[in-house]
Amino acid sequence: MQKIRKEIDRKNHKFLITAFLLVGFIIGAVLLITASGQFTNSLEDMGGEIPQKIKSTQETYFRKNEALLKTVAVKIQELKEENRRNINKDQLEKVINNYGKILEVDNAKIYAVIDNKYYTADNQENEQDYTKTEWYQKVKETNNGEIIYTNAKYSSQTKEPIVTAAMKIAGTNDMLAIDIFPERIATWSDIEIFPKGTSYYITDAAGNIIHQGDSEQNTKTNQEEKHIDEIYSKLKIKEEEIVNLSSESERISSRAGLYTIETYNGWKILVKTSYGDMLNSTRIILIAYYSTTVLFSILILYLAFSERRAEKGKSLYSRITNVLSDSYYALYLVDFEKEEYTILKGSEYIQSIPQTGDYNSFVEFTQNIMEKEAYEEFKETFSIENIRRLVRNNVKSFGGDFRRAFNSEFKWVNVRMLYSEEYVRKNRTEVIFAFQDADARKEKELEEKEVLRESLVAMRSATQTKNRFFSNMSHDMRTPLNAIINFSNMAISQPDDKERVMDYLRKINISSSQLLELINNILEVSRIEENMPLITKTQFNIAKSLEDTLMVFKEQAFIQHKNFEIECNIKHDYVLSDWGKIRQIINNIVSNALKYTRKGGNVRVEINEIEGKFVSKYTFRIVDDGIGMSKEFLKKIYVPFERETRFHSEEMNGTGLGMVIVQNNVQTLNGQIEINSEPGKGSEISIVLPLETIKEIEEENKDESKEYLQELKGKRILLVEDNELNMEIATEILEMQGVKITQAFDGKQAVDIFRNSVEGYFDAILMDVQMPVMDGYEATSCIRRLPRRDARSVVILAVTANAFADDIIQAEKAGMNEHISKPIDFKELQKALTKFMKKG
Amino acid sequence: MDLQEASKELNIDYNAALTRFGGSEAIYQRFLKRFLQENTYNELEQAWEKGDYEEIEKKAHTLKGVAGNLSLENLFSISNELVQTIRNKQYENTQEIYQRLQEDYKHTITVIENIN
Repeated sequence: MQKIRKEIDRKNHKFLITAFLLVGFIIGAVLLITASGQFTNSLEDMGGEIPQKIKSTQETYFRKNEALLKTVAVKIQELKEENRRNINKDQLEKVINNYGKILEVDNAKIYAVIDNKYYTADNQENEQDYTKTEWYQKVKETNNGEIIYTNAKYSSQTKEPIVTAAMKIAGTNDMLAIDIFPERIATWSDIEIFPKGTSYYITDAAGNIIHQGDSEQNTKTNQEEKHIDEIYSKLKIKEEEIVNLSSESERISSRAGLYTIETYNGWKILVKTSYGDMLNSTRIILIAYYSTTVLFSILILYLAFSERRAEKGKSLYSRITNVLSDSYYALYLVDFEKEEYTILKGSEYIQSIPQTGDYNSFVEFTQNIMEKEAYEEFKETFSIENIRRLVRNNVKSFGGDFRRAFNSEFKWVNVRMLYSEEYVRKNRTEVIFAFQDADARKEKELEEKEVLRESLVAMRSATQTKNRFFSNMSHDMRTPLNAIINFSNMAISQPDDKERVMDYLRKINISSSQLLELINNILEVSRIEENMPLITKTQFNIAKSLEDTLMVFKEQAFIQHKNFEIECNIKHDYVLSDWGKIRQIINNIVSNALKYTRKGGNVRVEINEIEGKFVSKYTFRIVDDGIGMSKEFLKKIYVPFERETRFHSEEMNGTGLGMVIVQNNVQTLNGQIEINSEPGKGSEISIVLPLETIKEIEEENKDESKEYLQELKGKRILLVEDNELNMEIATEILEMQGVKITQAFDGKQAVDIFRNSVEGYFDAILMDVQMPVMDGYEATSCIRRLPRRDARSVVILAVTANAFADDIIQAEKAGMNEHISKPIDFKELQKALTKFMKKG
Repeated sequence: MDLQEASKELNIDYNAALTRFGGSEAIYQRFLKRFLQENTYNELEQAWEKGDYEEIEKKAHTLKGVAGNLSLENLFSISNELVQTIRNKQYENTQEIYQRLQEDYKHTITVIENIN
């Protein structure tokens, strides 16, 4: 839209210039025709033409200089905008020279006062003086880019007259001045085209002679000169007498005429003509035509410049508005001195508000569309006084969010009051109000706030449960610890009573076991929380293992006077699974059942097997008629550190971790758990675990090492170890067993060697973990990812002196089959190698 | 000093060590002598001078492995102690352990040097 408008402007502009040119030429032509007809008949009229012509020449010269001034002024403004006010002399000189040449006023000397700093194209001027100069004093009083002319001064060196034209740069206190040397006006040399006997004088407004000349040089009679001098002396005395010059001059000579005319800037032109010589008419007519043409050309040039300036201003304005319009749906210009607003860009939703108007009425209008609270705040914040205060305090961007009605819908909107420091410097009293749609941003902000709030609540409650856990924990740990201390003290005090000491020791033993269990639970949970459950599958007799475990509870139940029943229907005794995990499940649930069942209560454990071909489903059902659990508690039963605190705490020695472990273990074993409970009636917990069944268990081989040795013979092993001595020892010993060893001294070497080996060459890789260049974990990952068939099947054993739990986990993660601790227990190594190589 | 006497002096489980080396005293002795040229301890010393705990832990770890392989029980347990202590960031305790390690290493070297 803006672009099109600009296009039209440009076209209008061109049209204007063409029209002017046309009019100029027509007028010129008409002048030519009429003049040629009438000139010979009217010598009197002819006499009036000469000063007119001089006047136009003179004025053209002024206009040129003025155009230069204005152009330079615009250019300076541009420079200031570009350079943020730092204008340097070179730039200024360049500007002046450029435009001087274009306008053929290269004689001109320009100087400027910008931000109270004095600039000049040459360095001759004395800086301190400028405030005392005539032009400065005159310009100071002007407004609106009015151009002033000083009276003529005479150059101390060349004696030529100098006049200064000066102006303020629009909207600023910057000043621009230009020295004009009227003597140097090129057109004076065209004087020969004046009729013979013509002489003329040009004076400034104060009557100082600027220029004088005649058609026949040095032919002025003494008498004439004397008269002219007289006239000029009069001129200098009283300006109003100029009007009478014409009649007075007629008395000088019957053959001569005296004419005066004044230029627009107050200069006077005095021409004396001799009629006899004025018949040389063709020339005069030509001159008239030329001068008209020149006048119009200059006019057009001037127009073009002023147009350009206007357009520049306009394009800047529209550019800014354009940019802002993209981001803001409404823009208002508010003059806080006049207390008025102007709509720069209107909101689509506000139609009833006039283009400009009283600021307070604008504020009042917003009441209709703003939330009440927001309006009150808006009204207060953006009161005229407050705007002034903000501007005074140099707050360049000020605003906030509020909810505003768009038709019936409320949306978040951001309002910002913007102003430029430059504005203030230019004595402008305007700020811009920019309204922006902030709905999406604000919603997101609020959402984020909500998320933060929620996570804070979650964090607080987590901290609370943790704190509660620790207070419970310390109590739970203190109980067995106190028992241990007390019983050991008692044992020490009665060392001779063997029976008692034995009893104390047993009690100490029980308390120690309790404490150990507690600590184990905590460790297990912390491991679960880090999502690192480990499965260690072994073959075991589940029927026997369960029996062993449950018998302990049966004994405990008997002591506590509770009934404990076990029913076990299992067909496959041997399974391949993680007994440790299953034991934890059973322990936790059965101990809870017992713990929360009163004296004389009943606990029943049923174990059944639902047969499958390779995998059977083993179901565990634990039923008690104890105190049960509330629905609220059941919801949180798997949350770490939670336990139903309204249960009688003196009976509790649990950690609130049991059910977390149970649930996690059940999940790890791909099983299911179901809990039914009612306060006061008891609980029923059902667990289903799918377990791999085994028909027969391998007999323990008594002479195992020999067998393994036999199997190791001829195997090809890649040995990865960075320490030379360790490498030598391991190589030596393995080679003694008939193993073919390839050595690699770091992980990268190992990867390279494996990559370049024939597929299936290596039976196993013994990988040190801590190595330079590339460690064992990384090397293992690399090897496992290689695009070859044996990449995943080759046995990789981690060998490290660190047998920390994390090392085992990391080894597993990297894809290592097993972990052997260093120093290498060769039996262990052989066992492991045999085990996995067999599989492979 | 023969190998057996040296083993007593250095708290070596002689039988376990021999088993490791396939029952060959010659091989075991060779590797023990080979330990004299082992550079790990020197590197550990350099790391200690620099106070670079990460490097100290690494070197102690390697030394632990070598000592373990050679059944040098004392050296094994002290280097292990150093590894654990640094792992647990109890740097203030390392000085004392390091001193013990230094003493034990020097003693071990002297004993091994005297095996003939």
